Amino acid sequence: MITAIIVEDEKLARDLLRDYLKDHADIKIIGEFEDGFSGLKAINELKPDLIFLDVQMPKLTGFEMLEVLDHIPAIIFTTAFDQYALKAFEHNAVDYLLKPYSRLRFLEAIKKARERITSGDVNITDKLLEHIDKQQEIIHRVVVRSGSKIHVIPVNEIRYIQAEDDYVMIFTKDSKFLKQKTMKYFESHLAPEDFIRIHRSYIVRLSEITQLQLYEKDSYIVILKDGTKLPVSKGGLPELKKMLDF
Amino acid sequence: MANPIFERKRSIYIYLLVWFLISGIHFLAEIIFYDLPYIVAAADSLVYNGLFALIAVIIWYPVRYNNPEGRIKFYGLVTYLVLGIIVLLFWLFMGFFILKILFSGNEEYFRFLNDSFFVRVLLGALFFIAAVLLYHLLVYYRALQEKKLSETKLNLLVRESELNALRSQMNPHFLFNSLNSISSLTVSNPEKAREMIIQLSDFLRYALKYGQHDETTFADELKNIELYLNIEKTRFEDKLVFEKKIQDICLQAKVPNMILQPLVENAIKHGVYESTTPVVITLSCQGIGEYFEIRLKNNFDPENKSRTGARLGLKNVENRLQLIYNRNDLLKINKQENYFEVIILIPQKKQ
Repeated sequence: MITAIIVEDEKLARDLLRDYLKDHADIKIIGEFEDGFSGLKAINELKPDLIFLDVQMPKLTGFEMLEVLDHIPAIIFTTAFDQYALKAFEHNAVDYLLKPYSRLRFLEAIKKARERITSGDVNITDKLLEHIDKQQEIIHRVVVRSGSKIHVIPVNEIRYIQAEDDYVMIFTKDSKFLKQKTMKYFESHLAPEDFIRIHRSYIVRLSEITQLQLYEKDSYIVILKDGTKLPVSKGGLPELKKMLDF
Repeated sequence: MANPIFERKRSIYIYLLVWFLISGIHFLAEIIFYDLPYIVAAADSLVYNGLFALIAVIIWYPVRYNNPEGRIKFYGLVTYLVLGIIVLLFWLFMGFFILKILFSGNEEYFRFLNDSFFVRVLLGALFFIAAVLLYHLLVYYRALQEKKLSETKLNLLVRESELNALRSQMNPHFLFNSLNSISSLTVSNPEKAREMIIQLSDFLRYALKYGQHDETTFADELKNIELYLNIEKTRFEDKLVFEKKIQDICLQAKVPNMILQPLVENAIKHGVYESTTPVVITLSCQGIGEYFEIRLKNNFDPENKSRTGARLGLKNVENRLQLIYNRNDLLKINKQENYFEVIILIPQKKQ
């Protein structure tokens, strides 16, 4: 018996999936969800073997869900039209269905998913996410998980970002969140007119900076609105001066 | 702008060659008509022409400063008159000064220098006028080239925005998701599937019917947008609620075709797609003075943090309005805590 969850915001699309699944008695649908948030919660709780995941959904997209999933099952993506996603799917041998899809095409996807589940080889997410990151441009929100809670942080609430080994710590006005992404990712995905990398370990929102101060001979620090002091590296200094119009 | 003579090596050579030729003619004329010794004629020709060659380089700067557009105006002429006199005096004096040192004691040559004073003034004036005219021609020619270039760029921009507008009319997401809904309905509700195919066909026909600059009536636009909303409603059911408040006078108003669709699509994209609760889209239109004011309002869940920032569809509408009415103040956006509103003004043409 294979347990499956459908995460898809359109009822008719869910109906279709269910209809096609009638041919597969051994696949049992244990839940249907209309948005990324509730889908995510259910997947982490119910730990299904297989999910049908729509890419474009309210609250969280299918890809954003992947970033914060505990339990990674076999996934069949469904999408209507998304050039970025398609490229990522093709490069990473991910099962996907292009809407509208035929019963035959559905059968193929199910066949592949079955193989993955029996062989236990379902983990494609790291490479897939990496690929999607590369194609994406400027981001407007970041999804993080703290404990069992999921937070969606709008980029305009981010004050600064600090490197923490394999993670980064994202500082907002009244909180901080750990996120498994590289500094390089944020450096290339935050709007360059709003954020600047001032140090190997720090990316700062320009409008948060109140002062640039000489700290010791040759070394500078910036002081943020709330008084936080962050070091500026030699390499970051010229660009920072340029952006601050010094 | 730098002096065009120094722009390329070739232009420096040409400049020098021209002055060399003038010097040559000058030299020959002095030998043939005035019987001057070779050495004296050569020195006289080289000093005077060489001096003017230097001065002519400098003349570029007042020309450039005086007439950036390359056209002569009255105060410009006065400037040139004064400049010409200064240049002439300087030129004659410097030439005289250098030659006097070179040939001190050569009485015969000095007599020639004195006798030829009037001819030299004429020659200097000729040189000056020629230099100014040539520089002007150059500036004018360049301005013309630049204008041509910027016109080409503008055309490209127009073409691009037209393409973008077309693309936004045919949002592939809408198209393929609708087809998927139809595919689903063929099993559960074939009658409804047929109805949706017809609606989709009518909508596509309307979208393909008109060109970028064609006008239609607001009534037609309204009919089309209701088709579009019906299709979306089949997909999203109760999540999408449509309301309208249209003054009768609006129905016959001439509006650009497919102007409403990108607005509604934007509302659906940022409202309905991103929401799990019902979103109300309200379309209103009223006549205000010489305009029809069209408002499209949608509520959104402030808890939802938008994933996308750019509103390409609205930008396209703004560009189209700019192209059609030549004004950039016809589209306004009013974003509040929990609703988003786009307001466009359509100028009424006087019949």
